[in-house]
Amino acid sequence: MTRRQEILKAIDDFRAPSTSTVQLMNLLRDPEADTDKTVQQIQYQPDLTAQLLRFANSAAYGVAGSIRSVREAFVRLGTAKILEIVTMAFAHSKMQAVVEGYGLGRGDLWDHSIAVGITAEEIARALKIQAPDVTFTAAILHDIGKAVLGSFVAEKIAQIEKRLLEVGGAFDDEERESLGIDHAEVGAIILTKWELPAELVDTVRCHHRPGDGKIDQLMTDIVHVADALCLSGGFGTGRDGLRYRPSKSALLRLKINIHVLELAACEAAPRIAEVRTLFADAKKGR
Amino acid sequence: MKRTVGISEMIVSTNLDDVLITYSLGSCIGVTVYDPEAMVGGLIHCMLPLSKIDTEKARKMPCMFVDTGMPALLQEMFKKGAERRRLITKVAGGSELMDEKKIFKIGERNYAVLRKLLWKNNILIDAEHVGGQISRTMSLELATGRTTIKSKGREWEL
Repeated sequence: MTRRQEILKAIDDFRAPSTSTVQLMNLLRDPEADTDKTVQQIQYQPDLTAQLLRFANSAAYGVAGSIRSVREAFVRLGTAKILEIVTMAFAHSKMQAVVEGYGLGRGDLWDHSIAVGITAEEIARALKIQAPDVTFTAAILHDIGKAVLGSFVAEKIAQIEKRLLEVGGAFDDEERESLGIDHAEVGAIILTKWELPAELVDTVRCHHRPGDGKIDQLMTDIVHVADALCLSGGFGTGRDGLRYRPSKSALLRLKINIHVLELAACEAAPRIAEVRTLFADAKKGR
Repeated sequence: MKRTVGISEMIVSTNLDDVLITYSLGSCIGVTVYDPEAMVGGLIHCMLPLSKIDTEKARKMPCMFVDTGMPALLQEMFKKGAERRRLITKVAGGSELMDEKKIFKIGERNYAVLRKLLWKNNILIDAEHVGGQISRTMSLELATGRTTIKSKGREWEL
């Protein structure tokens, strides 16, 4: 087996989300879906219901007054916020493990993922633009490829770091050089298998090279910049550190300047801290 | 006791058993200050250079910004008996992405604002490890005043 084939095999072995999670996420994305059915889907999952209510009653997501049922949460928060919470809960279950190779400790990958999700929203807000609907989900899942590629990176880390010093390329360049594939493409293959929307998959595939994006350029650019900002800010940064290249053209397309970046970081940071606390409480609560 | 300083936080301590530590300094700036005579030390982890971007946030979380966080740290140090002339000040962080266009210059700005602020306060930087494209962990041992940096599995004294 070639290295690439081995990696593809590992992708196959990476457990897909349960059918009910996929169904639920599809229902939440479908504007014509029957709310009763969606509410029921959530109520079948007690852990998820508990998590949703905790969020619905938090300062970060909550509205005034207490929310006691899933149905009430739908009415008060709206479907888009519910999808965000469900996505974070799902990511929390898939991205907790230590990721070797990238030197990510337990929970670090998830930390980085929620940071990028929230920062993507804040970048759109700072730019006063509307981000495409699935931007948050794409941002949360953008690095899922690292969860699979990590053990392969670990085997080659000496070679990768030697070349980083000598050639001076970005970390994802060296993944492709040493392994024939980078974590963005691995992520895209995983999410294609999970039957997530094509534009989301494309954004994940191109999050380090947004110029190659073929479907939703705006979403790809936002996720790219949010990722860069979080790597720079040290949110779940690993051994790959800040060895990535922000795309000049993405920054130009979005009309990003230092003020927008600092404003987004400043608004995102307390929200990230709160979401972390909410999930940490969830662990203690059990 | 190991005490973690989160992003936009600081700790000042006089407990000689304490080790103050902050993780994942990228473009953020970490500063340790230590007075070997008063045996008081502090560590701060600032994310952004200037508080004018959101003055409301700066009031609630002064340590988010260098220009409000550093004065808060110094004030707390003085309150606990430290004296300016005895302060040992060390700096880490201020990394950058591989950004030829220099749009993501948060690290550089953090460091520049810090230098200016310390200079105005007549405080010298005794040691520093800043810039580059790495993420750093910084810690301060209260009993000895030792500041250490850890990055990519390597650890050394600053």
